[in-house]
Amino acid sequence: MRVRAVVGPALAVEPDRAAVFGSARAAASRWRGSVGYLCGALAAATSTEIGFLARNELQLADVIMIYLVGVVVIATRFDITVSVFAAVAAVLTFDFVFVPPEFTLSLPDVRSAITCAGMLGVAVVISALTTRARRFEASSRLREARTALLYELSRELVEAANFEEVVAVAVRHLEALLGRRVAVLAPGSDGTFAAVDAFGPIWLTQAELGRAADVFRAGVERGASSSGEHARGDTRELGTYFSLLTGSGSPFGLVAVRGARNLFADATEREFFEACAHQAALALERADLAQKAAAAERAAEREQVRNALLRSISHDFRTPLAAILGAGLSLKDYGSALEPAARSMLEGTIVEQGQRLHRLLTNVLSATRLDGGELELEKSPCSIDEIVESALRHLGEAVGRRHVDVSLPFELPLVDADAVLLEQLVVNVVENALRYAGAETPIEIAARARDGNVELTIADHGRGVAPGDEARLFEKFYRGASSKPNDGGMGLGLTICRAVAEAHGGSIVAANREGGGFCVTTTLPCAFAGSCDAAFELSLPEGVA
Amino acid sequence: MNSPLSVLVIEDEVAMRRLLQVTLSHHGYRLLEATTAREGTYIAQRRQPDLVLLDLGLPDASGVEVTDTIRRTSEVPIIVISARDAEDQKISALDAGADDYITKPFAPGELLARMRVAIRRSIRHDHVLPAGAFCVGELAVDFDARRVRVGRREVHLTPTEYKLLGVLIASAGKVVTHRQLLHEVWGPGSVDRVEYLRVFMKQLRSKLESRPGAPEYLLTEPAVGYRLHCPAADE
Repeated sequence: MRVRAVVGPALAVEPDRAAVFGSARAAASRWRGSVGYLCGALAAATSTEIGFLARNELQLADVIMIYLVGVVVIATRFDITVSVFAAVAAVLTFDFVFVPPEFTLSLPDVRSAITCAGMLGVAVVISALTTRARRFEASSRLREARTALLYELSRELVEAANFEEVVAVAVRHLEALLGRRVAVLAPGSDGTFAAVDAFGPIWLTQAELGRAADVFRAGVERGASSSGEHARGDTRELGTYFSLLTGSGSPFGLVAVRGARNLFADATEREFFEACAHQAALALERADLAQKAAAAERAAEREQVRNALLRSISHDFRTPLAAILGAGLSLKDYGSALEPAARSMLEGTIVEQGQRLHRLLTNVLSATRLDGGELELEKSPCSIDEIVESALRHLGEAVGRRHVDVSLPFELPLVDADAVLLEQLVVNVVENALRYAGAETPIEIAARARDGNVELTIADHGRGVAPGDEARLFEKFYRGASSKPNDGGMGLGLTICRAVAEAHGGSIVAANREGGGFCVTTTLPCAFAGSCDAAFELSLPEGVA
Repeated sequence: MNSPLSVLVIEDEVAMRRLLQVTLSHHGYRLLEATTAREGTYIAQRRQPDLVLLDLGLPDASGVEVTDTIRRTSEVPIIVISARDAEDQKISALDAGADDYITKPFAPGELLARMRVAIRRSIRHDHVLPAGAFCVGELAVDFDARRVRVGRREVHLTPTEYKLLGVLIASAGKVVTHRQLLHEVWGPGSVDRVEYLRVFMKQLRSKLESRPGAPEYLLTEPAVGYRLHCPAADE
């Protein structure tokens, strides 16, 4: 089993996030500890100083008050051990400096002992209270920070446009949170794990990927047998922590964290990590579903087009087929008895209707190619001259004696196109002109370069179309009001033209001409975008001698 | 000398085989038939036909594979019969050594003309640049004097244009793929520069053709290559 791994961009741990979690906080409290003892000593020294300077004005009880203020100040700032240290330091210096006999550590009477014990007791009680308040405040600040983090995570997850973006967001957040490399592993669409490297080198080794697959399989089995339990898998053997990604159903992936040792300081940290991972899992699941839904929608659309195509095929193919079969059967059954003129008429029908069938089929093939959704154009630099030439040759007898006036400037740039589809476009438009314009009228084909595009115009001198019909002509299976029911068209020709033009990044428009006639203009971007003329010059020097 | 020429038809569809049988034997060819690629290559090696008609939709091998196998032992002309949706296969079969192609549905007359060109070329073995003179319609090329004329008008061609025309004349009547032309004229490093061809063909046409939109001699085979039209094949 292979694993698809998505790893985040380079690590960038923001300090305020790291403070929410793990080792950074421990370091901070150690640092605060040593400063606390120093402050405790300083407080005792300062109280002594004040008391000593003012000893002639003050009684012993007043000096005690000064010491108490120092102890309280320390107790509000630091934890209980520092507070007790400060209290003990205060009692000792007070006893040493102020309790007679001065500058000895003896307690002469019960009153002095009670004073010292009272000071110690007050210090302990206050520091216990303030420590508790401080702890409460710290934990609520932590909770607040975590909530904000979780909120930001889910906001970004919602904004992510697709599966890959969701993965990127999740990995970035989890890496910032943990300060370690994180990867999201998801099984491939075919059920097996496939390795996909989205953002950089995958840091997981093959052994770890194998282990990931095992954890995932075990997780899926466990998830299936006990649905209520939040299935969770981790392994420390390889120094990598794995957590199952479980959305609303069974697990569908893994989060891998590099370095399993000392990952979480306590259970709440682990729970918070799991909560983040769960958020990511839900988002991933959502993105996955959305992708599947979009794919299903596309498939349904294709199916619809295919059905419409099938219906029209079965209708439009039946006529020529019936003619061919009829003529063929007549020739087979009575061939010898028929007049030569009748025979040749039947033969002509077979050939003509066969050609019509072929044209229909060619269009249907192009339509299915274009509608497939995953059309691959076989693009190469093409010359419009050649496209027009082979289109006219293909039309052959259909053009007949009609006058086709081709005027293409010599310096017309090349277009980047699929020659076969582009020829189909020209064939369809010219065929329409042949069919709908009067039999004696000429057809004009012209082209020119304009703004990095090539404009190909095919015009006739027929009656044109009903005003307002121009745009609808390109709709699937739409046939103009002037078309006769059995003229061999199936309302697919211009639709294909539009699909071809758009697939090439171009466009096609139709319009009635002033003074009668109809004109279809196809715009295609020229090859070597940016400079059409340069493209023409480009290949010249080598050969011109 | 006058024994009928034999044509091997490798085609899996009965209707198509029957049509070819009728058409070809009517025109005096002797037919050998094969329904699979395996059978076809075997007969091609054993019976040494004068021409092979190879369908591209065979069930057991691609056209390229069959062309390759036949070309390993024989120089027999091969004409590929392709459906419209097999463009790629057609081009790769031509590049692999097939002589020409024809697309279904085709007119029997067209097929016969292609066959005549292919057989004549294989008898003359003129795969190198031609010597002497070449004439088609109004176009006359004198290779010794290196002169090109259209009717009475003398045409000046650049060396590249002349070379391009020479390659097409060497294969007169037969399709030459973009790749083959680029390889012959510009060398193996330029086989993908189709734009060179487009530009030079355009120039050549403007010098040789009277109606560039409807050329008489230099015909385009869209997406495949070019063909120098050779009316001599339409006997």
